[in-house]
Formats: sequence, C-alpha cells, structure tokens
Amino acid sequence: MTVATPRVITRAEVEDFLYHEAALLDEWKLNEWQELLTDDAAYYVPPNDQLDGDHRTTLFLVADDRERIRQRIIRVLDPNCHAEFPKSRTRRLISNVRIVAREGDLVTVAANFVCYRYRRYERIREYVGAYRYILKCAGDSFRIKERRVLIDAHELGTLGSVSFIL
Amino acid sequence: MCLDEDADSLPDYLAGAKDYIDLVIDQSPSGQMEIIAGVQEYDVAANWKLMVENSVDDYHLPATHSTWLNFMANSGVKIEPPKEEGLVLPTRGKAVELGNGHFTTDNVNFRGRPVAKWIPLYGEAAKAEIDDIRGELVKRLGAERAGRVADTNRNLVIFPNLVINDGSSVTVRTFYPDGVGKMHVTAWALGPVEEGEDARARRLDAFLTFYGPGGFATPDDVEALELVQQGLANWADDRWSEMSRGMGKEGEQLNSDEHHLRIFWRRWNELMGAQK
Repeated sequence: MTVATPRVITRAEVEDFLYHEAALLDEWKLNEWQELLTDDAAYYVPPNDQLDGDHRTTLFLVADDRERIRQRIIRVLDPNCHAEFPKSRTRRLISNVRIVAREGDLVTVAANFVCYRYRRYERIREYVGAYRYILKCAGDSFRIKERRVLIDAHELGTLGSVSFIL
Repeated sequence: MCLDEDADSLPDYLAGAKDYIDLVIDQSPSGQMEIIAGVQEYDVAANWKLMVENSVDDYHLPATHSTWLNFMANSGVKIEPPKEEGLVLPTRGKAVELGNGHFTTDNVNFRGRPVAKWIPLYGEAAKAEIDDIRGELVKRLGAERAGRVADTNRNLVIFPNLVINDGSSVTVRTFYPDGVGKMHVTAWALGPVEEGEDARARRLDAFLTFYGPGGFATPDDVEALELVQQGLANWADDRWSEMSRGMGKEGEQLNSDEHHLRIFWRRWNELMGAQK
C-alpha cells in the first residue's frame, strides 16, 4: 500500500466543512450527517465540571461510539422521542476555527460555537462552547473521526438536556 | 450533614431503606462504593415531587421509553412484557414500604447489570470479566445473596429527595425545589472503589444508555415532567392527582401499582401538617 503525500489543508476548507455539518445538524438531516463520519467515529460531551475528563473513567453527558451514534439517531428521529417531538429548532454559529495539529491524514480542529435552541413556546436556550474535532482527510474533503463538544456553562442548569446532536 | 442534635440516628432514620442500600454496597468486595467523577446538574421545569414519582413508577416505562426499548432490542435485548394483568415489565416487580416515607421497587433484572449480568450490549469481550465479577460475589456472599445483588434491580427513594436507582447502572440523584414549578437536579454515577478499568468504563457506558441529560431515557422523563407541570396549572379546576392503582387490593403491591407513590405523598402530607 502506498501512502499518498498529505495535501495542504487550509482553514477555509475546514470552515466550509464545519459550516456544511452545522447546516445538516440544524436541518435535522441526521442520516446525511452520518455520512460525514468515519466508521470508528466518536461523539463526546464531557460533563460541565470535567471538560478534560476521559469517558472511561468520568461520567459524561454523551459518550457515543459509532454504533451508539447510529442508535441515537434512530431514537431522536422517532416521534416517541418525547424530548425531541416536536423537534428543537437549533441555529449554530461557528467561529474562531483553527487547525491546531496535523498528523498524517488526521487534522485536529478547534472552533467556538453558539447554538441557540428554540422549542415550542419555551425560553431560548443558548449553548455556548467549543468544538474539538479530529478530522480525517477523505478525497478533497474530510470525515469526522472524533467530535467533542465542550460546554462553557458551569452546569447544564437551565439548558436542561442534550437531547439533540449538539 | 445534619446539625440537629435531636435528630434520629442515621440507621433509625433510614429504617428499612438500609437493607436496600446494603444490597447496592455489596457490589463492592470491600463494601466501599464511590461517587465517580463527573456530575450531571440540570434543571427541570416541574415540581420536585414529580421527580420522586418518576424515579420509582414503573408503568411509565413502555409509554415514555419506547425508544429505549427499541434501542435495547436493536442491541440484542428484546424486552417483552407478558400479557398478565398488571405487569408492565418482563418480570414481576414489587413495591416495598421501608418506613419513614422511604420506599423502593424490587424487580427481577431484565436489562443487564454491570454487576453482574451480561447482555450483548456489553460486547463478547466483557463476558469473561462479568463471569469473574459474578464468581467473586458468590464466593463472598453465597449464591442466594449474590443473586439478590446481581439479579434484582431497585429504584429506591430515601424520603424526601434522595434517589438511588440500581438498574442499568447505579445512579444517585438528589433534587431541590426552586419555587413551585422548578427543580435543580444533581446526579452522579456510583461504583465499587476497586472496580477495574474495563468494568468501570462498561458501568459508565451502561449508565448513558438510559440515564442523564444526554441518555436515551432521562430527557424523555424530563419532557414528561415538564408537560405534567404545565397541565397542573389548571389545579383550581381539577384538584386531584389520580393515584389509586392497587388501592384496596388484597396481597402484594406490584411496581405497577401506586402503593409506593401513596407512601411518599402520605408522608409528605403528614409532615405538611395534615391529619393522619
């Protein structure tokens, strides 16, 4: 097997990819979103008090492997997922995108986000935090190998739950 | 911590709940369970007493958690309640009064337990270790007690606001009212201090299959509680909360009855100054 010379990755390419991902999530196109994931992808939301914790030794809010992500999507798209029926309307704004490391075809990316969540006539919920991605180069785009969501709030508190893909 | 010098001693206060806490603690070879790092703190826009009801009534499971039941089925654990009258879970479960307003469900396990009942969700590689954990229990406690620890689940309420759910994993949660229609919930995972790395990871993963703000069940509980709270706004027109299942019934009270919920409300009512 030959290893191709790693191509140059620009921030603009990464931003395009993240914006595309955000659009799929905000539009609840979760099956299309899944196609952005590698077969060994993981999705983590650490607890508010242990943002640098390890999910094997620390209780997370979300610690999904690829199969669990698949099951989560089946669940949240089911009308019997009461927490998301009706579905939340989310709008995420992503900024401060940085490529922070590169190793072979893996790119570590940091970004900030604000995710506004509206549901029925409830209060607005503002999830503010940072994304940490490990992206894998795939053709002229990327696949998500790891997606980690660090929530800035000291406790989940009035945000209530993480019943959608944050 | 209690600053009242005249308060009952802890064992007296816990009364019959102590035996059920002991069942949880017996998961640990040294009898020491620890709160695992990582706390889940979230608000629910509902009265705190609804969380007590939700933590221990079993009949809401099929209606509220069908997506969790589907997930379990997709993961190789088919859960089918028998058609027998009054049973809402695959196994028969009881509601047990424990004194001082405490109570618990006492159910035969059907959903796997990190200590110690393997299900396909844990993966083939976990089988051997779970067998070992079971072996240690039997050696230390004898077959009968080991079976009690490993093959039964309990959702335990220490009156008024401490819940220990020993099911898919062990969660300890407490909740405090912030006005009539809101509560703050704090929840942790509990595990044996000597638990190995893989077993601990499995326990935490099992926790997240059901519990917590990102779990496959708790967010739907929260939704249900918040909708109930909204419905309760019409209390002036409809002053009663129906809670009569199993009332006046001869013999055993099942987990699908509301005996244990009435225990809670009666104790609360008594402390609030009502006549017994």
